[in-house]
Amino acid sequence: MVASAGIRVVVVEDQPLYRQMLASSLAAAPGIRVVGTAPGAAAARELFAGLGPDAVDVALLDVQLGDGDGIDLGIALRETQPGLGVVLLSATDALDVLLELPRPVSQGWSCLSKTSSLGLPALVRAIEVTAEGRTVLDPELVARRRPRRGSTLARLSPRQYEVLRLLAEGLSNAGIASRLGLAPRSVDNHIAAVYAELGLASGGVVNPRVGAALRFLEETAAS
Amino acid sequence: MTVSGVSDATAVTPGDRIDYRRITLLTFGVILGLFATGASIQSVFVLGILPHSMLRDAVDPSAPFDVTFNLVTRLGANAAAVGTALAAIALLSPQERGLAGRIGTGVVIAASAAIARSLLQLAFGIYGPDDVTELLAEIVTATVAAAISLALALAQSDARRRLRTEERASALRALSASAALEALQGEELRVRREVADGLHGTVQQRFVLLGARLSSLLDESGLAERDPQTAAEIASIRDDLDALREQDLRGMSRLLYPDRLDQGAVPAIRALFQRVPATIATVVSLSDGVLELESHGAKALSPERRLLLVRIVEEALSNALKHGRATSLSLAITHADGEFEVLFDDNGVGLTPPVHLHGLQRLRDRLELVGGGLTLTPAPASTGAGAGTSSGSGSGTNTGTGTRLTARVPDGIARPADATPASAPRGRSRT
Repeated sequence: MVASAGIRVVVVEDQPLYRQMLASSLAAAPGIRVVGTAPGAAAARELFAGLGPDAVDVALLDVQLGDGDGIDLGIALRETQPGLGVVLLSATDALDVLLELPRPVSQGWSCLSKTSSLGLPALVRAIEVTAEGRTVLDPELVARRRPRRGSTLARLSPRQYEVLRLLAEGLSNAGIASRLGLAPRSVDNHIAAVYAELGLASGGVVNPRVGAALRFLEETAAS
Repeated sequence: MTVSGVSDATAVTPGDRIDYRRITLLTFGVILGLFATGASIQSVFVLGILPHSMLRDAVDPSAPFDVTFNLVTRLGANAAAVGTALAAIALLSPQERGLAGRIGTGVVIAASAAIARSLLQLAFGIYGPDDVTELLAEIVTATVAAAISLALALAQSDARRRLRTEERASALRALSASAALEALQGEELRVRREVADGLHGTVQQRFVLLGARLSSLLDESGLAERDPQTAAEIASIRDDLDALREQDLRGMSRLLYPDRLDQGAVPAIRALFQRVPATIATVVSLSDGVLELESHGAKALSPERRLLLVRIVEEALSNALKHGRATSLSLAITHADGEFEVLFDDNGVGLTPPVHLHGLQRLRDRLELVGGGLTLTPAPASTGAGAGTSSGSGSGTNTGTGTRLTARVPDGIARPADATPASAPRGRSRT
């Protein structure tokens, strides 16, 4: 659970200017506290060890760090702190890095592109959603993707696909309903139909919302 | 790097020693044995020489004389001589000595064999104690025969030794050459990676910032109202910058070093398939063994071998898409017995000549260098998820059965179970 004082965030980024800009912008955002920054993977591990258990809610990690790889770092941090949310910043727009995650730790990972016209509000929203254990995929990159020929996603109705796409962006059911101008009941039904089509059951190892987001990545390609 | 501890081609191992002794004994035994048998048969049947005892006892010349006894005693004496010599060789090991040692031990071996033989001949009554001249002649003849056999046997053993030394020297040369090549490839890979990282990271980031500055300049200057033409020009430059970054810069970076290769072959291969357009059906199946070796956090392959594996998939993909006009692709990688098997099927135009092999030929050469291989065959009819649905435009040309690329890639991982170095198959295929 997120402490009332705000979401505690650590920023790990190897480029100094970018790191400082991220830290100061996030510190100014309401509801977020930056509790530390690190320039690399080794420094980040030290920082987390120094902060102690459960002192961080979300780690904002650059995928390409000078001394390692943000994904490996995230997996390692999650092993010592299972409740940690991880937001990856990727310079290669490779959303599908999330597909490489071992399934048991795949919950609460998000991926944003460094090169999309992502603004601070979107980043703050991603941090908030990830802190709750859900997944946010960069909306701009998601919008560019199309279902792959021959895949299960290609069999969804346009409306179902739209609902799935917004779900992969990390929107809640209510959020999807207001975005599409639909009744919440009808969104619930669409989501149930999508889960059925994808063979996702609630109560499995992986949260079906996360499972659906990963399937979206797996069965679409950038157009 | 050394082959199981052998760094000097002239070094003699205990195994070699046994081998040289075996060759000396065998050659000597065969040659002198032939001499001995031949001489006995000649004495009895061709020359009809009778043993001394028979001559003395042959009071009655018409008494039947025993050919069998004659032959057996002569053969027995000669066999005993060969046996004595073999025992002496085993004891004195002339094959391990220098020239002087060989002459010394050779004389001892040959003489002891000849003397043993003559003693037996006396005992069997082939010669009488009075036939001194004859006995001496026999001893000299047998000594010479044994010495000649020994010389031939030693020559044989030496020939084997030279051959082995040469083989080892050439294996060592090949090995050090391949080690140097590997080091060179490793260095090249490191530099490529650094350049690709720089393009990916710093340079790309600068382009993003430049684009952002142009955008804010346009917004804040109000140029769009005052001078729409210049504003449009600036916007177009910004878009060009963006396209340059997106396509050229990242394309170049990928050419140097595939995306996410550092995270393992599996992430790099997935990244390749992510770039396949959505209009093409893909099936990727990677066996558990492959995932265990080359997924996140588990990178068992050397960077060079990982790159080779990924390049094969990359080349197969681009071949299928560029030349094959495929609408359905399927990749399956399995791992067994220290080797990856890559099966890549497409439903494109198939193997219509000329088969485009430029990139694949280079990969095939590199694979053969490490003991692997690559073949192109018509794809089996059943494969390809959407093979049957490859309808649409150009269906007239798209009648092909498609292509199957099969590649075997040795993983190059040293396993404690066998001490064979990774480059062993190279040597094996040459000999």
